[in-house]
Amino acid sequence: MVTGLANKILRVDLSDRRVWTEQPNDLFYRRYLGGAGILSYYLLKELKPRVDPLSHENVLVFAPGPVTGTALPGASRLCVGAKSPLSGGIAKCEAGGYFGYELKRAGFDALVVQGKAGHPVYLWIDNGAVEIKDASHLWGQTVLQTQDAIEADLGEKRVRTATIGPAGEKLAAISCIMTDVRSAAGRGGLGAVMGSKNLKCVAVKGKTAPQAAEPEKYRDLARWMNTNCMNFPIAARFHDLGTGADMVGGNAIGNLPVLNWSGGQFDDVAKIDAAALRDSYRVAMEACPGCQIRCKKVVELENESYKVDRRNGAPEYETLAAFGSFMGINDLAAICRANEICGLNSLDTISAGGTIAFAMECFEKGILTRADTGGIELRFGNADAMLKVLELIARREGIGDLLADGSRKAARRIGRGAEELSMQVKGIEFGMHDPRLKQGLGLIYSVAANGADHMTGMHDTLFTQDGRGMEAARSLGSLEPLPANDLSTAKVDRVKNQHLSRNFSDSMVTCHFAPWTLRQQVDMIRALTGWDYTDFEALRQGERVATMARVFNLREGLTAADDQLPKRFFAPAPDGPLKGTAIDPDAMNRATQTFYTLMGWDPVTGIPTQEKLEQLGIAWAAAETVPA
Amino acid sequence: MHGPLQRFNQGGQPRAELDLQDGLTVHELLLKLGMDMDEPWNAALDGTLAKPSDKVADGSLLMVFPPIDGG
Repeated sequence: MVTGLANKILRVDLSDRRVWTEQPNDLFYRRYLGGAGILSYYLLKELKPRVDPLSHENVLVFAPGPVTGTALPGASRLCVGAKSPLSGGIAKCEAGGYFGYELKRAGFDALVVQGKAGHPVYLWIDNGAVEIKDASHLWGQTVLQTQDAIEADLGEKRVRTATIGPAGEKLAAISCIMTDVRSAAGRGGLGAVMGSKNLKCVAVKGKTAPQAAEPEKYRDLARWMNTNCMNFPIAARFHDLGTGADMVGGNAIGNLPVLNWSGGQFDDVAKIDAAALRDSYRVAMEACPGCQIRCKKVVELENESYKVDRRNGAPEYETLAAFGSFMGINDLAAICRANEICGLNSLDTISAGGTIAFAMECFEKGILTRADTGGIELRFGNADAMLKVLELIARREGIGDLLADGSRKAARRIGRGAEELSMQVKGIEFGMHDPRLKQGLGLIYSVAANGADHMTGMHDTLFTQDGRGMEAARSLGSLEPLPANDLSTAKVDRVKNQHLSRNFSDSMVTCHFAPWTLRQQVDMIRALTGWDYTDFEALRQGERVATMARVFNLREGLTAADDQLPKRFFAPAPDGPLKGTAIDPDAMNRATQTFYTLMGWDPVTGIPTQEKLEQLGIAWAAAETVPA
Repeated sequence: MHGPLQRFNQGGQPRAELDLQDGLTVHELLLKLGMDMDEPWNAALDGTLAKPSDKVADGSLLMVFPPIDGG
């Protein structure tokens, strides 16, 4: 038994309505820790190779971290994963809110769901007791309607939920899972996996707080954060404005994506950023448990052309950019409404935005016409058209059916040059940060197992000059600032180490916005469990998680050829701050091979070596590495 | 100056026009403004990402703001 953990994994087989628990040993927890580590273990161990991600054979894992459910700020998050219907590889993402916090307090370190229910169901986890309940009456309901109906069904208030809306039910590969109505486990199509299992919702209440091995040391960490949090510029900035605070600056240096990555600068950026939101529709800021940053915006639109209910949250930076500059839209009310449509229907705002921007460029170039769109004038800048298409995607009707599985699949169906306009890696649309500016991030977009996700890699512009911003790099042995567009071995080493650090944090499932250092996260584990855990072990955990995800993808048929950015980024940017800037393909190829080498993977194929797997204690995964 | 970095500008103003000596770098200019160089920052000098060693020419526009990463 490990002190501080629940020491139980909840297992549910929906096919035969079986519920049971597993009690892994101490070594399991020390080796896989939680979150992304436990999730990767179950996906590798329990999925047969090459299963259809939308079949009963896929496994869906909800995994909080070891410290989730405790009083630490920035430690309430949840990691969710499965085989992705969008990429065919691993889907892994994190969501905020209270769901992970309550799942842990309900007595579980993770929930692993397999099989497929014969009719729509939801899971009710009430502080250790688990029921599979009928959800036939909820099928077709939005996420918010489902929340209200389940609370009414259970006669409980503040039930924490992970829910899908109609897009997940209709197996849209760009659908997500919404936690507590307003937060999203966004990337990779996890909503469709949940929908394919006829699982509408997981509802949870938990009341048992984990007890630390060294409670006073643990409380000291929480006290430290509560005392010092607002001295960190990122925390203070997000406290005031939330994400999207510095879009004007991002636009000035070319980070902000414009017109499906074809444009250079967005003149109306100040109309769609977090400051504009504060000055118009924002009515509150909300927090995850115990967090002073309170970065979650809440908007309400009552007397505008578009109405938005405050219970559905507000757009984050990625959403402001995806439905704003990325489509040439400067209508903040429409962006708020787009965010609401995505939330209610459980659509990933990044992939939905990326896919509609792709369709807009196809329309502008005559590849799609009004005959394809059902008469919609799907041009850049047309907010009404964007909202109409978004609704169609949620219902899988008309052009929406074509786009509901993301831009890669749509482009293959459309043909006629559409593939060149599909901006994704491994089928996953890009986070809203330009890899021509942040080329180290570009490398991670390319090689990361979960595609072009902005959360698994470092952002080069944090480390371009000396100062406090370099602290995270220095703690990983990278001492000097490097240019944002640098792809030297020193930069690749920094990219790799930050990738490992982020994979460790995703095993802790700590928030990237809470300014915890790597050392403090290690101290959390030591105080919680009593283990003699070290920084070295933490980075090795990050390496283990990244390598397990790589092995999973290789087993599913992905290869080094899938580690490729779209051609557009290798041609000179036509306009704006990055005008004339292109990623050098030779430099990126060298960086990719260097990354593989530093990871202990074959420099050409990217297959982890047997020695590396043995070093990481996952030699059992060796049989999985060679594609069939 | 944007966001919390505005406090380093004269009187906390978002904009200022400065008469500068020739050859001043971005780093030197920010020091002259009294900025805490330990604080994370990015700058755009005439529309592109600036390095601390970039020279600020007469008539240049410098925007300074916190770095952006996730969200």
